[in-house]
Amino acid sequence: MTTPGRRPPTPLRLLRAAHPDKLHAWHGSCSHLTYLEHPLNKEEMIVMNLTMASYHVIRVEEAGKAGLEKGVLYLNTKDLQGLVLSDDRITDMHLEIAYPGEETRIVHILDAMEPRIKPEQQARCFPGFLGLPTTVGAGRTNRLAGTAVIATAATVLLPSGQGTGVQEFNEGVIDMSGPGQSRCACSDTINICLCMTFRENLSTLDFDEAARMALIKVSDRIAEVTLDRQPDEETVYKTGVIDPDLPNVAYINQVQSQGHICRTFLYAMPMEGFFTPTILDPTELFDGAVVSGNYRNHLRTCTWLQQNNPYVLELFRRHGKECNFVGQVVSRGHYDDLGTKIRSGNFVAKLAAHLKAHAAVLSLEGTGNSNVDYMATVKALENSGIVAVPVVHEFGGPGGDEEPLFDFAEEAVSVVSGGGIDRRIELPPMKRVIGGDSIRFTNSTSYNKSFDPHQPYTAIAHFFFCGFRSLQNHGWRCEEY
Amino acid sequence: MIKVIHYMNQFGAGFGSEDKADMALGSFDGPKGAGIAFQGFFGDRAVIVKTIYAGDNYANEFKEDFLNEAMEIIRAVKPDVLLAGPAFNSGRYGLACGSLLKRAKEEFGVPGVAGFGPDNPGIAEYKKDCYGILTGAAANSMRQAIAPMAGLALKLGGGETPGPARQEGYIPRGIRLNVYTGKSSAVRATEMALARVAGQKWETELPRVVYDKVAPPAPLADLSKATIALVSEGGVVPLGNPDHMETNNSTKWRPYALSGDELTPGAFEVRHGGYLTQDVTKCPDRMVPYDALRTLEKQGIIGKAHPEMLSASGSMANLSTMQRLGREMGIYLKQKAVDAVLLTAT
Repeated sequence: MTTPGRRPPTPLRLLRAAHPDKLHAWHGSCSHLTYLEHPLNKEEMIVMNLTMASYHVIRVEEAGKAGLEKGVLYLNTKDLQGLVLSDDRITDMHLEIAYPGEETRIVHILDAMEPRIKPEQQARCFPGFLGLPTTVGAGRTNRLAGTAVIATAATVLLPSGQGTGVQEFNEGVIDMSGPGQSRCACSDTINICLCMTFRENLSTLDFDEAARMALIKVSDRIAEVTLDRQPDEETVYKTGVIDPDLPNVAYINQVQSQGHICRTFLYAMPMEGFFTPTILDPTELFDGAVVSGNYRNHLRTCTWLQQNNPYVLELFRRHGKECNFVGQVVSRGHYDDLGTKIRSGNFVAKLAAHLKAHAAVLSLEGTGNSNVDYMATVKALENSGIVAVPVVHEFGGPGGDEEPLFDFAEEAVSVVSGGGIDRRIELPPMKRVIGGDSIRFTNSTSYNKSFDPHQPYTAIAHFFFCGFRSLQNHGWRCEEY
Repeated sequence: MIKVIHYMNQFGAGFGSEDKADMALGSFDGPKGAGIAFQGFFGDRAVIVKTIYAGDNYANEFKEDFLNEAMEIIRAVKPDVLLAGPAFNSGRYGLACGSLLKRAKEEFGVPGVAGFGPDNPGIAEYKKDCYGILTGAAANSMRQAIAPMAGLALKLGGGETPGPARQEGYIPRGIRLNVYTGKSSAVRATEMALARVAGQKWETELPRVVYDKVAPPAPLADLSKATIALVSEGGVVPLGNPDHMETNNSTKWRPYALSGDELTPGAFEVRHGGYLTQDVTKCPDRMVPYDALRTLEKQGIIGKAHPEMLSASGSMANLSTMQRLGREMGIYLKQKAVDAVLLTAT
């Protein structure tokens, strides 16, 4: 899988320097124009073909000048501060770096992203947030492998403890070592933490937008160091039928989007409301087509996990060898009633059939109510003759002897267990805490009590950043005893 | 040396069959009947110090006497583990084995292993309270039952916690615990999908969950004489949340007195983590429609609007916890002579 006849990439930074006024015009080109300018032939225009260039990072240091030398990523702190503080909704920002294995706990997390940039000018990562929503997932993307940029807020200016339901900030921590490490996202990356202070009395809308844009801009700026360098590794990703004798497998990515603060963006557009399931090339995820604005930290899929979606990576790993990875359908849960849930499930099945899938692997962001949409999707897929393998997180109580799920389709005959979310574990104290001095959870185990995040505590999956999904990703499951 | 007590019924202990089913509890020193085969498996790793026996009728009809007498022996001997049966498909025998192992575990924390045939009612009743080994239907499958029962007893008697049911071979007890597989869900899901498409064997990691079906009660004879109460999982609580009602994963419900003709805006807040609550905060009647209920009362369509709401948050709650809440609410409302409830949810 190589790319023929490629125009040599023009570093975005040089383009920006040379034609600052034209940048908008480039990003503003609508997608068919972009394709006309694209060097690939017509056949390849239709199927996404992305070269992912990985630059491995083994250490991160703050410096006066940005750079990348022998795996050491240098951050220009002043430049990044200027970038973040150019938004007057943010009053202060300093960096903290955390390494896997350290006795460090990161709290007050708003989102995490992997620094990525597209060196060619046609499209930018995080489309719609940076530039217009030009189609991504093709061409070339540079990534700083082994890192994450994590936004934290000294005071989380989201309604909290005021009875505001789903629009409540849910604490979800990252433990860089100990038993929590295998239960949260971004615990095995070098974490560049943007510790931000926000202006007081911001609306939640402003807070949310400022936090996300700061993270996106910093991720983009940090990734610029790759632009004039050779990558350590290149991988070409392209979906489709490689071998007609292999089974076709699709990925169904059900996200959570229930409104402001509990939201997922697709090309910068919220997915709640009248959103109907749609096809998204898996490579578009790599380029930040799906961004998490979901502050329900325990059950969310953060942006880093969509950029590095483990289901997409696993299906690509077997692509052309054991199966044809034919594509992805994105859907959401929490439709208003049974009819709209069934409708959504049927649309997913129809799109999977259009992808000519024989089987589908499904993942779920959300819980409870969204589980009904999820099961409706499984039912529709199986009834369309498509093998459905949903991954679920289980309830079951601390002892694991209560009901594991609230809704179960009898068609769900091949379910993967992602572990029980309310089984308890003991966490050790941590020497260093990044992000804030006190944390507070909203569930029944430690209802609404603030405490010092250095201290040890008894945790369930609700306590961790992307806690539900991370049990699954790290390889936990429930076994019957 | 691991100390074992073995329980058998009148037949297993060699006294006779149905004609001896009424015999009271007694005991021997050392193994007897199937116990001799267990002891053979143990060798010098464990010793059956006592054999307890009782008639099946006695064990079931005089259950408390049976259990108390058995516990006295267990208290004196202090065994590390108990063996019971195998009972095969004998129903009363199976129930006796299960009840004895359950009580011993509760009183002394002594674990136990029982042998049950596939149709033994002891499985459904006691699978959570002991380790059951699935045996054949009748005593002619005794030989096959010895090694798995004795093997598991050795493990338990030695203080080990047995692994998952499908590895250790005992009957699943309905307890699901987290284990680390070393393979992400993405890998396992893809492998399962490919196995199914290829027509190979696969094993679901979560067997189908079947839920209770609740039969609706008879309709109200006369709505105009009925007292109607409002029950909601929408998390509406008095301002300040005096009972510390939880937002998610909640464990309790509370009754709150209502007065006037509506839920006064500003007097309530919402503790619920699962929906956009602003509209309900602004107008709590839209979750708990007391205004509508009072109107119906004034119009004579219903007899009486019960002046309380029963409130809980259903967000990310456990089903069995919610079943408990429902039962408790039912008992409470019966005491208040409520005839029907209007149940509003999110």
